[in-house]
Amino acid sequence: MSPATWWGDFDLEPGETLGWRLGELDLRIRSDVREWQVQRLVTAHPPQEPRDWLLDREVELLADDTETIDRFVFEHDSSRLRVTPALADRPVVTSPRVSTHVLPGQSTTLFVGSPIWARVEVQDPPTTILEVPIQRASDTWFGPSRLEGELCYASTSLAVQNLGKLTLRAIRAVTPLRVENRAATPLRIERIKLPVGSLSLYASENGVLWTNEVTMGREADGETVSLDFSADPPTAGGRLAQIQEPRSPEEPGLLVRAFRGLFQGRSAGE
Amino acid sequence: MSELFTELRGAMTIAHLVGAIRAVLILGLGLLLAKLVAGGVMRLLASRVEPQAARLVRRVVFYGMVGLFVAAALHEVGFDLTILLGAAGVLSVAVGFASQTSASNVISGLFLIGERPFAVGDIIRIGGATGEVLSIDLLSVKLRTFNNLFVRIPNESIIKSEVTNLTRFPIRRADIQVGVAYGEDLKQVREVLLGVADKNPLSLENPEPLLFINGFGTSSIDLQLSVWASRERYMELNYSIQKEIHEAFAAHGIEIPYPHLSLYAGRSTAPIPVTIEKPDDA
Repeated sequence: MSPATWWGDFDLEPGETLGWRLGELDLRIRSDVREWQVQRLVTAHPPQEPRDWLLDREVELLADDTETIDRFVFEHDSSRLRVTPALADRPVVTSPRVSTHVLPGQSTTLFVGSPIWARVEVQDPPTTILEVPIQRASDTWFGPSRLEGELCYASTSLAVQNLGKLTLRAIRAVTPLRVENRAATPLRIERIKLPVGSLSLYASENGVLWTNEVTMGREADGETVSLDFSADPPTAGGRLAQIQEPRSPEEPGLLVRAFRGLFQGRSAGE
Repeated sequence: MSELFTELRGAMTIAHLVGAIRAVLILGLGLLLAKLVAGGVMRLLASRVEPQAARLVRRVVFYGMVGLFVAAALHEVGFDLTILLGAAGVLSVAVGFASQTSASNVISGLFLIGERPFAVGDIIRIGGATGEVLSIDLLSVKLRTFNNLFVRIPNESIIKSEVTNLTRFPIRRADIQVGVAYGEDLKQVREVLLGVADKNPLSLENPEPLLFINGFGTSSIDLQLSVWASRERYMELNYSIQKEIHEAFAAHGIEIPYPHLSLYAGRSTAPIPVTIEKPDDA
């Protein structure tokens, strides 16, 4: 019987290889005497929906493709491997496919998707040997000018209000984003910077990934945004278990950011 | 020989000996103190100012203190410093004339440190040299070029010439020049080029890639694809996107033309007949 999730602890005997097909990522890990060999490939034939991942024990490393293989060597034998999903190591800038306007005094919850990384850890002692993006997100710049800002990952999302319209997947995390517009002018959402480093990762029983809810409240002055991260798993996800801590947890308390620091329009490349 | 020793013993009185010992002690103590104070100043400034400015202050403090202690030591052994200072005045005029270039470089160096157009570790281009800044000293700036050559550029020439800092800002734009044949569908070319930029993960999604038509060249329509990348991945993007454009053009049958030359035979506009013959099988 195949497992319900692609993550967890895996025991591999020396000489054994395990393959993960996660979307376009083809990750193969081989156990050898006092070493792990990891091969990262990109496949043109990703597993099809509804289940967009596959665990394969009948797989071998492509030994000739040496550029894609990394060896991790150890003093002692270790047969246990932990593979877990993780959120991005930089903020993710989400662009809804269609410009979205939140009218004055209104609020909404948008469900936005974020890319996921596969983290590979060895045990004794627990050490992360590799983090690899399941889908290589494009880089993007988010800031008030070409001189000031932050390098982020770009992500396109439907940003739907109705969860039923969203395909819930095991290789992308869903964040419930509550947007409250307390200002007197409409709030146009073209690009939102989601600080995923401050978010925890949760998984449902059927392997769907979620993060905690984020609330962005545009204040009456129109120039500042209060930012709040829920400490609990999102209720929309049903029964969820936490599987990853935030990379850089925020201190408890209400955070205030400049409006332009979280919401932005597109800019031409000149 | 013994007479010489007797004379020396006579000349060197106890007072002289004590003075010499004190001078050595002052010098030793001065060196130690100068080293400690300069080290302290360096630590104090390390987090507040640029490393090269901190190093400069350390040197000034160190050599200034050493100078003072040397003067005190000389005074102890009986040198009259007023004569020395008078001589130094005359000497400084001569030295000043002789070291015009060095003085100009020192002053330029101070301006450079104050203006801070670049810092240690930046990649800069000055004249024909492009490289990483290794150090900014009082007389010169040292560079390491990409082919690992050491280049010393006098500060005076840096102040006078145009300097480009390639790594000052966090993102950079790569302008890729590409020509397509006149017969190509520009709409399709645009879609292909922007599609290549969109698929390349190093090409920033924002600022958005732009496509310009630079003009109608002698053999091609000259286009410019402008894509942004983080400064760390700029070179990687520059290589990968040109390779991907070449592949995408080949896949879509878009021609990158070679220079064309049309030949006309005098008044006749009919093309010169060309016959291609198979070579004889020898």
